[in-house]
Amino acid sequence: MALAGTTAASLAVLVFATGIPSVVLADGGGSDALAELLARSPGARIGSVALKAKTPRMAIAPAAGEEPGRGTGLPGNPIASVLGSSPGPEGPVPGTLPGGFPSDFVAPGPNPLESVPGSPTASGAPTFDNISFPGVGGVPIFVPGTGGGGGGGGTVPGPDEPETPTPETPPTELPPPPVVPPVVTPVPEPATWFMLIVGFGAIGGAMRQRRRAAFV
Amino acid sequence: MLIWGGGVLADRPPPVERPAPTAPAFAGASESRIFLTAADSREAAQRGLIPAGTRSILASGGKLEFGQWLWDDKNVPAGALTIRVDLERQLVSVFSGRDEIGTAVIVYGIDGKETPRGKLPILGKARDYHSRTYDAPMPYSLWLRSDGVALHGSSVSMGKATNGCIGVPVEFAAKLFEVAGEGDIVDVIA
Repeated sequence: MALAGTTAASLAVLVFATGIPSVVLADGGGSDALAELLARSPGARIGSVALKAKTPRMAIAPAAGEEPGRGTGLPGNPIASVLGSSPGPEGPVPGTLPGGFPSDFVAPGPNPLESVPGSPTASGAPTFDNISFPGVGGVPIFVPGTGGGGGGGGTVPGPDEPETPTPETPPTELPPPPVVPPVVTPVPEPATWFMLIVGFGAIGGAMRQRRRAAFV
Repeated sequence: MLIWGGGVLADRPPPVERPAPTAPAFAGASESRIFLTAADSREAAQRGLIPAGTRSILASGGKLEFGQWLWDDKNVPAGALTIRVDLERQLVSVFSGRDEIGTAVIVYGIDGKETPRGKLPILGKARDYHSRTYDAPMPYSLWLRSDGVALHGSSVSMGKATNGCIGVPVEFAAKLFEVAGEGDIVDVIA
């Protein structure tokens, strides 16, 4: 015990004697880096609305052709745009494979782009080859309600159909057609407009205040 | 003069003035890259802004807006790919080893369909997947969970949320898709 105490004291003296090398850390540029990191965030999310579904497939462009190693969307530089105009995605897929992917996960069909190694593939996967879209620049555009539609009443005799004489019938007075009043689109009252504008202004002011508080 | 154990030690040598350590750098680094000192890296990690041991970050020049992204892997030494997602700050950062090579603003799961937290390994990749549940595209998907949660390209705008996935700008997702692989860790923090 006395030997251990002596040894400990000796060690303490030795440390004191030899000294602990001082480490000088640079202070220049530190605040810039931290400020950069702190300023980068757009802030916490305030409210949220789920992105809608029902959107067409986006055109997936290959990565070739771009300047290697550099891409930016900063203001002052070309801001990166989102391909297509569809709002986004999505979420869980029903069904799972043990330890793997969702059961309905299939690689797309004939795709001009490279296939992902290791991805499961399935025969008969849907492709764009047998589907026509009024696309622009190769990007399919979902346009509901187009593509024909018929309608209209009555029939039109074909060129080969013989004309059959119709018996003469005395003319009858048809009842006057019902008067359908024109559809009037309701227009908000001026007071309603005023409340709408004030409400939007209040929401904008509240959002601005919360954003300021988030950066404090 | 100090005496210890019967011996005699020399006088304590004068302290060596060491030059201030400069921030480490690698050859050919972009001018927009900020190299951190050890103290800065340590403090930033303590604040939860970057992973511990980060050597350099990208310079955004201010706040990133929704839809904006940065990617710069010019001459960055090869290293393990790590993706760090900060839900509170709505940011994703991609690191190659100790150097940041990409960052972007994200959208994430709406309340009730939260994005899972933790260190999630990438289970697989899909370049052009389309969700059947939500009838929505999921380009450049990096699967994080077997129930379909993924990090993928999306429309990124303020106030929007997903059904659990992590949405990033599509161009950013395309670049990330090329470098990420199965097994790479996506660290999602609240």
